[in-house]
Amino acid sequence: MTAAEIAIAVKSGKISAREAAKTALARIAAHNGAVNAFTDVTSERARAEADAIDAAIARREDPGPLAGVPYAAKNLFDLAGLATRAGSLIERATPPAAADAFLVAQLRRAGAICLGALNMDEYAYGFTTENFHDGPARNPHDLSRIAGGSSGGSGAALAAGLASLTLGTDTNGSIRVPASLCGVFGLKPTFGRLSRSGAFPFVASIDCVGPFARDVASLAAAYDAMAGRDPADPAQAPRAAEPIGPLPLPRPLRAARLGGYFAGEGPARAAADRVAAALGATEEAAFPDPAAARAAAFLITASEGGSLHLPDLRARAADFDPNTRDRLLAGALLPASWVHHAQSVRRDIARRAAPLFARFDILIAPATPAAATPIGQQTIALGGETVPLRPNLGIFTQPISCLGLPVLAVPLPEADGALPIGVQLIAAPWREDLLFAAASALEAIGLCRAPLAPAFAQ
Amino acid sequence: MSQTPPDIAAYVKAAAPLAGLALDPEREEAVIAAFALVCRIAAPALAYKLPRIAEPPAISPVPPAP
Repeated sequence: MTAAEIAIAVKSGKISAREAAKTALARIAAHNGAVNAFTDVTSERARAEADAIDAAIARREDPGPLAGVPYAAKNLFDLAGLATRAGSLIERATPPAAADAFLVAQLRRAGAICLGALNMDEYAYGFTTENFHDGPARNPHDLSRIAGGSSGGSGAALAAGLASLTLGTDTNGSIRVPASLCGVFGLKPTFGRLSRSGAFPFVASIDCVGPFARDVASLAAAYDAMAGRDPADPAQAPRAAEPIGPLPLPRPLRAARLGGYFAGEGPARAAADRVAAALGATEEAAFPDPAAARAAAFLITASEGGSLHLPDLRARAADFDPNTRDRLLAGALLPASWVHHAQSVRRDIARRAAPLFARFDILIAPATPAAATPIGQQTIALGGETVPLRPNLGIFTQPISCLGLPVLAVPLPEADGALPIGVQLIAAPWREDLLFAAASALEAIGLCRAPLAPAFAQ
Repeated sequence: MSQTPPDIAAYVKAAAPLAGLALDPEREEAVIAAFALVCRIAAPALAYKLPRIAEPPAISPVPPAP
């Protein structure tokens, strides 16, 4: 069942929230050893929350729009009573969180049931979730391959059916990359849309939080539940929630395929072309200076990440994941003038990109340059060149989030043999409604969908 | 905009102690390689010509109006 279907079943009394929690916990016990998506399982909390939902229903109270829906959160979200490890060794020695992150609290208020915390790249600095401390999150479509990152556990848990919704964060593609490689839907909202309170930071200038789901209605329900003003987050825009509400959202959409830098190759290109054709995109649009936008994001990320962790880099560098440490160290040494310049570049490219959205509701681009690669692979062939894999998995996502635009990654199952690939639907700031309209149209014709990985479908 | 240092190794060796980072030779080599990768990928941003007056985006320190 999808998350939306579980909520209907629980509210109607067809199943109890306790049964929904029990089923999810049993699947985690049976399969997490294979996919390594969960780093903490909060069984007692899940049962207690489920019992509270069942009690509310027995009292004829509204249990919330996500009643009984089992979900899990990337392990950089505060879960009361757990140390927020953020994929690191260093943070797991910190005291347990005193309260839930804002998004987690919103899901709890909506009736969802928290199953635990999910694997990720250390401090969210990576695209593969080959975590040195916790082991790699494995792709349920092929356990020898990466789940993507940095929210790799969030993608893997969904594709294996270990949770019905998951939470992730996206700075340079950390929701969209695992959504693409694991074949699920993922939303990176407009920068400043959802509260980041209680989520361990990475790059304050770019960080976003958002949901993953296996269908568009569930993604919309999760997004609506998480919305809301949070005075504790200074980066949240002073803007009222704009709920998506019931789907589908019928409207004619003006779509264009991003060309040039975003053309892609092989199955990634074919997937974006299929989505473009399905949305009636006959025009190709040119995104202004995507390489510079990507480069600006890269600089800002390295510098802000390095600065954030500088005290630990000075005192206990050996405790970092080797895959993270040297990039953070290099970032801590970047000249301030470069970073200031990169921030201004970002603003200028956003100004130049704005007119695109007067002509088009949706821009279309691949989410990743390829399907999931084998765990341990260091390089990838792109454009006839062999380049490092880790930074280049985000080559199509980084320029978009650099500008703070909202993006919904939609999955095309079996786009590369047995493996899925995702495509980015991109809209103007604050127009998540257009993303959901396009995604629900693509889902309705069967092009974009997120079935459980075959090995976990029984 | 300033371009990447002509000698990345010399830059890293000089800048690390100023940032309070003590790098052993093996770590220093790895950081030099990481810094070189940043420079390669950053090049299009550093070469980007900005208008004369270009403000960066900012998170305002002023709370929003109630």
